[in-house]
Amino acid sequence: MRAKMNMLFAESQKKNWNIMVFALLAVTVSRVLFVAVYAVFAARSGSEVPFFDALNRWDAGWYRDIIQNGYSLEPSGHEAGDAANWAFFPLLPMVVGFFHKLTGLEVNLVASTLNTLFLAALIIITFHYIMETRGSAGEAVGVSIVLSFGAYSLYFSMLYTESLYLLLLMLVLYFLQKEKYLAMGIAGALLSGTRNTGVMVVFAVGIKVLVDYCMSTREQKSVLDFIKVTFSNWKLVLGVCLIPFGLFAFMAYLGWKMGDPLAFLHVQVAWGGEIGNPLAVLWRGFRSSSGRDIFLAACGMAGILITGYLVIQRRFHEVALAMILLMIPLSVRLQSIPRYLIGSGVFVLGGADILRKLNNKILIGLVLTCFILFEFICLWYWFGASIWML
Amino acid sequence: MEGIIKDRENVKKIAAYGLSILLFAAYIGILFSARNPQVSLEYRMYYIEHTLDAWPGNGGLLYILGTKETFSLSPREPGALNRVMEGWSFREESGRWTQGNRASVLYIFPEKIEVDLVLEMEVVQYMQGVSAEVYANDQWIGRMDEETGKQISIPIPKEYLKTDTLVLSFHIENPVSLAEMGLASDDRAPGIMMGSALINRRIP
Repeated sequence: MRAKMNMLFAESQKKNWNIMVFALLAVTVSRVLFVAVYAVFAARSGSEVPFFDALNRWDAGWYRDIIQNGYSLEPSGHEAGDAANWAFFPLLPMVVGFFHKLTGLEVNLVASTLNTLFLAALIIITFHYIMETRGSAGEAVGVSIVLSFGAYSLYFSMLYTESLYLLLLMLVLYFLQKEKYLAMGIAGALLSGTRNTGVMVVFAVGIKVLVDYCMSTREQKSVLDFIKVTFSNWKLVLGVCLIPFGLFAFMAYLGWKMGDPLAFLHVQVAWGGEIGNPLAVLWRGFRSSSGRDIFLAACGMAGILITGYLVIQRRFHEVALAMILLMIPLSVRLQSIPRYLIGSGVFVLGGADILRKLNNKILIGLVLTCFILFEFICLWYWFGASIWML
Repeated sequence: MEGIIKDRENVKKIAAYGLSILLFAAYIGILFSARNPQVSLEYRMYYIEHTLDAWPGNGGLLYILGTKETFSLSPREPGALNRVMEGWSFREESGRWTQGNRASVLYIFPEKIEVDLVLEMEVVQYMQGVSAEVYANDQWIGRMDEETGKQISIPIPKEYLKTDTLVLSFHIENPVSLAEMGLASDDRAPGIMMGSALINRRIP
């Protein structure tokens, strides 16, 4: 099996073509299954909501609002009237809005189609990244299955940022690995315009550059020499400077539109929660009497363990990303932690690394099966608007 | 030929460093402008300083004399009192408890008030043995307790209103925590449950 995968995806002259076909196939089959699950759900529940409307709920409404009405001038959302759509970053609504206007098709349909295409691109780029950093076609196939069929994969086909965000994040990591810093900077600029945590990838870049310098064969390494080497690489300097562009462009827009460049941050008060100790948040989850809280805390714990394994693997830039992308949400609340784990990419990579290390076919098969079955539960709960999916 | 390629490379380098400096300067400029947001008082207090308990909307702190506002109503209901600052518990069906030793309410008038005012409050309930000293812009104006009753009327001399702003503070004496009374496990210390408030011109 492993030899066959290596032949198809690593050694074949048509390996790029094979990877693309595999990605498109995985995405198509998994999305057909989504529709089938909804058909069963609708038949059993008597729901008459169209599929794309059932898929694009909750936060998708905020993005729809941006697409249809632009950013609002004054908060008016939620029961307290204090929530505003400027908490949501502009790139995804801009892209969906553009194609919505271009095609005249319904927003939810355009959003789901585009995000599914982003998912296919994400699988292709993740495949290449894994081949580049791990050299394992088997691991790449496993990760691709998790991304297309696995638990919480439904978020990659709706009007949420998961698909675009992870695609851009993996592009940054891939170009960073290939030392194509200008492409990395452009992907990073788009990433920081997609979600507020996108700009954090700049720390991963810094750490990778530093680690690469430390591992280099240069003689007489020093802080001064590192600065000299780094700043003499104009592509790296410009690439890094480009990364925050999306965030700062949005800040400039908010400053011009309603006077507060940090409005996206300040409006978070409407979603509640104060920044605290992430470990205390985790501990409270484990001690809670709610099964949902315990599950979310367990997911958070799994994230920490995977981060620990990435440390052992000395993948320090992925560690930096994992820590930042886990600790930011965990320092506020447990809600949505599983979605962030899947949608941050590095945890899926770390988890796949662990399974590859264990090298147990039965265990790998069991984990993948569980992930796929769990996705069916996720879909069922999502269509039923269950609080478990928040 | 080699020279031309080298020249091109140098031009690219200079352009890249120039663009990098420009971007960096723009980021610093945007960060600098973020330090002084051009927003309404309500926005600043609610979203940035977190000193308002509910979002009253831009201009929502403005108070027209004679308007009765109710503590129990949720923020979007007409007649809701959306100007409480620190020291209040959550809204309840009939009113809102003060919480701890100090509770404040903020009024912004359309212009400086140059007449004496009167504060009229409906108290729903006093916790046993609790009283409050009432201050207008840090000047003592009256007292509330079981003896003064549940319909309170306290004059506010115009001398205490130097600007268009009025901060009413209730300094609660003897609030007892629910935990101490054995009524709950938390440390909430309710003092007085307020029902409504109204400020009007004082008729001599």
